[in-house]
Amino acid sequence: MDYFSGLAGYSITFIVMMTVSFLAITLLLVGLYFNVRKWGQGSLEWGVDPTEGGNGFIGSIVVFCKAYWKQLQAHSVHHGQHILETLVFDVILQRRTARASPLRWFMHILIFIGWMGLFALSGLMFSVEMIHMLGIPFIEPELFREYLQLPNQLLGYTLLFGVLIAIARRLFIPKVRENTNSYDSILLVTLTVVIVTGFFAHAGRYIAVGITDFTGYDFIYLDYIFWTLGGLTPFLTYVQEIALTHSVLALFVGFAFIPYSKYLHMITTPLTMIVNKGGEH
Amino acid sequence: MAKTPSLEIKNLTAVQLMEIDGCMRCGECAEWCPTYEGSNFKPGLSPRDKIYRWKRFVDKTYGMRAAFFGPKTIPEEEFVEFKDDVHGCTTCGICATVCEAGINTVELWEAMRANLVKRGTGPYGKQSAMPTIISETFNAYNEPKENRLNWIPADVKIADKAEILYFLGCTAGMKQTNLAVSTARVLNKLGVEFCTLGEEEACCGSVLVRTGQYHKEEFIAKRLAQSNVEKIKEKGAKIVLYACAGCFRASLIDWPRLLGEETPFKVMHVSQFLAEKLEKGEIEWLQKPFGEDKLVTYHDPCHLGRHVGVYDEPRKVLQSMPGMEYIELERSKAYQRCCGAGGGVKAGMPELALSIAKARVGDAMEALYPEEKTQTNVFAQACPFCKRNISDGRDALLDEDNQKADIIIEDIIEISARALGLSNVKD
Repeated sequence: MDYFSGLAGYSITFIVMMTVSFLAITLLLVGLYFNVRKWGQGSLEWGVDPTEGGNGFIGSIVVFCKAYWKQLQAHSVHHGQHILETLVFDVILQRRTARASPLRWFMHILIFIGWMGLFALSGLMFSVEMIHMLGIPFIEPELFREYLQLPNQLLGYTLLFGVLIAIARRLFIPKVRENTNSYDSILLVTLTVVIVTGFFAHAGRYIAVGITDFTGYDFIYLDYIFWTLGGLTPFLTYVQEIALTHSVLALFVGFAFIPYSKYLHMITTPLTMIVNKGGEH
Repeated sequence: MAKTPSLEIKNLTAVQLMEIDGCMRCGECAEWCPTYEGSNFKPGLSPRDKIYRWKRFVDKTYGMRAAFFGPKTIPEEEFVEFKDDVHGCTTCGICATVCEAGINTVELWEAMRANLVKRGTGPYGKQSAMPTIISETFNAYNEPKENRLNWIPADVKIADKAEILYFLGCTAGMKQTNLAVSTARVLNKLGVEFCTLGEEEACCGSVLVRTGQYHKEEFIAKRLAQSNVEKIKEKGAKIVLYACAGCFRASLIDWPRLLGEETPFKVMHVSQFLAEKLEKGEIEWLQKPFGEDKLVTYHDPCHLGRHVGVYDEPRKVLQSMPGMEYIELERSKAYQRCCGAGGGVKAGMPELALSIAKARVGDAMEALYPEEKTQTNVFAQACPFCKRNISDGRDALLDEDNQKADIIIEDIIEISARALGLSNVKD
């Protein structure tokens, strides 16, 4: 049984990927639970002390949800805005960052688009694969995979460009460099590793099926450069292992690791903006 | 036996604990923070740093590792250092305005302070005397309550009951009485019948909420709010006027929250009241406030501006006066620079407060004297604390022989009194 993005006869099977995915999702959920549990140790509203002895397994989730709902409903003296405006302008378009620093906004929006796009397309590919596995006639996964090549590549470049700007900021702007700690750099380093292995894996898959002339495949040319510069040609035999490494890293770093690192802001920042009605401005 | 955690999550809401994890560490708050700058960039005062340190405290005590293996002990020195840093904040709110994650930082600082006070680590220095002083004298200055009446000049008419009540606040009633005198005379001149709570007025409780001590002395802040609201109701007031931005903010936001219900009267800053009268054509200025043409600029008090969004009315009042050419400060409205007095900093860390005040006077100097100083111009405020601290900043700069610091610093209501031909002083 082949994995949709793998190649027949190699080591990445559907079972392997499902096991890895299941593990990643489990770690994500466990991490999220412990975060919500931590938040749920707080009180329901301003000036009220939390329950003596802390809240339990379910209690903490209930407290957090109730507190969130209460604050969402609360009257705002002067800076309340409609939830849709917050979602569109502050969460998706990141207006607050744009106001503060156009460069940081450009960097962040590239990472946001690249990340979310790749996440969505991976989810879509997974759905097509599952539908196929269930025997429902819909679209051939191999064909669908080809459709996704170009958008995947473009989103990969978008993400890469954003991350390069982020790295450059951290390295070359003294004020930013001095204030960078491990919490910041772990995110950036892991993200870079996932992106670079992604390009390796992609180029490797093409090379493995004998495509070395990139005429008509201009959009993966950069992957090829990555592959060559990475000195990976001697490891052509292990292309599936490289692809597997990327998939595992993508799942664990970009998914399971979210609640245990600065990646958590992908969840908490939108929640904060929404509950504070867009924040002060 | 279960280990006692170093930190108990008191006074922090579940949402606030989530907000701490929402910080992206972009550092925009540090770019704008007046105390961080005023301290010559002491790392601990950066809002970003405070959020990160508190996050680490919470994670060590309530995170996943703590859930499995018990909380980690946090050295007491870290809490003491954190207490000093979190009290070195004027709660001006610029960090919330510029926060890219939209974190309500002011509420967060106040919650952390209250937590540390409950823990026995806070508050900072002299601030600890405030709850006792206020619970005994019902004012922040340890004055006998009858002193609340000392400001009243013989010519001022105050009704026993009226639909409009002027809430003086401890500072205007006992220290900067020019403000109270000006407000009363302006109201009389405009034919507005008003009453006050007289010696029954109690501190608004703002300083207790800001310094995280509102729960002390058997929830003194709540008792103060209850007392004031009850007495205002007894006076039959429908509108309560404030010339103090701190009291205004407390009445608008803190009192309803402390009491768990909205107050049964409308709360207005005196600048809003005057702007409304101007719009209705009910005010006619009689003279140039300073007898000659002046440039005037305005400092938005944090408690009036960023905290509650009153920006336009004070400007309308100043711009309507004869002989006053209005100039906007480069940092104004939501992006204004704090005067440095708020959040208990003036009382707890006067040197830091002065450093910030000097920076703010510098802003005014740039606007009022872009080139040579040819006359003395005016820097207006709408809060007695801002006036006091900015005046201190000006005096310090004058002591350093900075001639451009020669600026008239007055409250809008004092300038209004001048424009109506009224005296600001009692006798």
